[in-house]
Amino acid sequence: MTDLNDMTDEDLMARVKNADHSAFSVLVHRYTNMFYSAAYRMCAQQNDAEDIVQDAFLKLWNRPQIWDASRGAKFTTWFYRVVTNQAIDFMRKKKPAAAGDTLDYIEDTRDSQQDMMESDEQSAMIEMLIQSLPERQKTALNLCFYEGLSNKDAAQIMGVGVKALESLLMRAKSGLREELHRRGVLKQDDNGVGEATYYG
Amino acid sequence: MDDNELDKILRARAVPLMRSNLEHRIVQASLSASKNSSISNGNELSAIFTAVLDTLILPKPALSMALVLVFGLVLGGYSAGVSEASTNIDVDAYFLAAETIVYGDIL
Repeated sequence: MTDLNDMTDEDLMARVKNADHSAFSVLVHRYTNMFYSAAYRMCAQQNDAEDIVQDAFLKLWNRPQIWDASRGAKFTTWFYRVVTNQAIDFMRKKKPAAAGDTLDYIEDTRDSQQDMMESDEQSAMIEMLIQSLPERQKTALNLCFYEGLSNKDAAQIMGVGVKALESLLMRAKSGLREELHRRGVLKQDDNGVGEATYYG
Repeated sequence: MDDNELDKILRARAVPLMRSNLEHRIVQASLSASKNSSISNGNELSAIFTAVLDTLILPKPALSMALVLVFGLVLGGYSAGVSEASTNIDVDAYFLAAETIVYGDIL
């Protein structure tokens, strides 16, 4: 008998479509941590990230037909899309976009992290800056830089062209670079080349 | 600007560990969802009733329009029939009353 743990994601999904709960359980154990990290990078809240991943997996279990193997996409690439959309919906419901909201959101995040050790200050600051990026720039940065997806896969997940994704990435990094300069974390030397100052 | 320096700083971003029981929580939640689904599947009559009720409560726009038109036509036709009948009755009554007044004393 085939061990479910040795099966590919796509084969497991075929079983999930036939209501095989064991196959679903294997997928959950295989990927919860990975997609939790992705969700956390979108929302920066541990509880919210856990809820987002849970909702995404339950959506998969309740409506497995949304996975279409014939399209040829890898399961993980496709599920990144599910989790990313789930996270975006979650954040929009939680905090409707409005002028000035980004800064409020940043401050809230900091309040919850006041007990952070000094060595974690830089991490917290990076988190704040990334969360303050426009939604699409943040998603592009998370998928390509932190999740290590190819530009093609990230573009597919976001439903944009590769060129558009590259532009989003460039703007995200450019915005972060400027802000890090402003805060004195990145310094420009005489040649205009950035120089990092690390905390801790 | 050296992108490597920026990348180094961005790598400092950390993700807190998820709770150790998250996988278990998801699997349990999916089992509950399955149970609820099978309970609702068992009561087919209830499902049919609910579906019919939903159709009545939340009709589709085209169906609504058709029903309104049919209802209007039926109501209009009924009203026309009633008013015609009542007109006939009124005319008969009028002539009967008139005959009674005119010829009543003679007869």
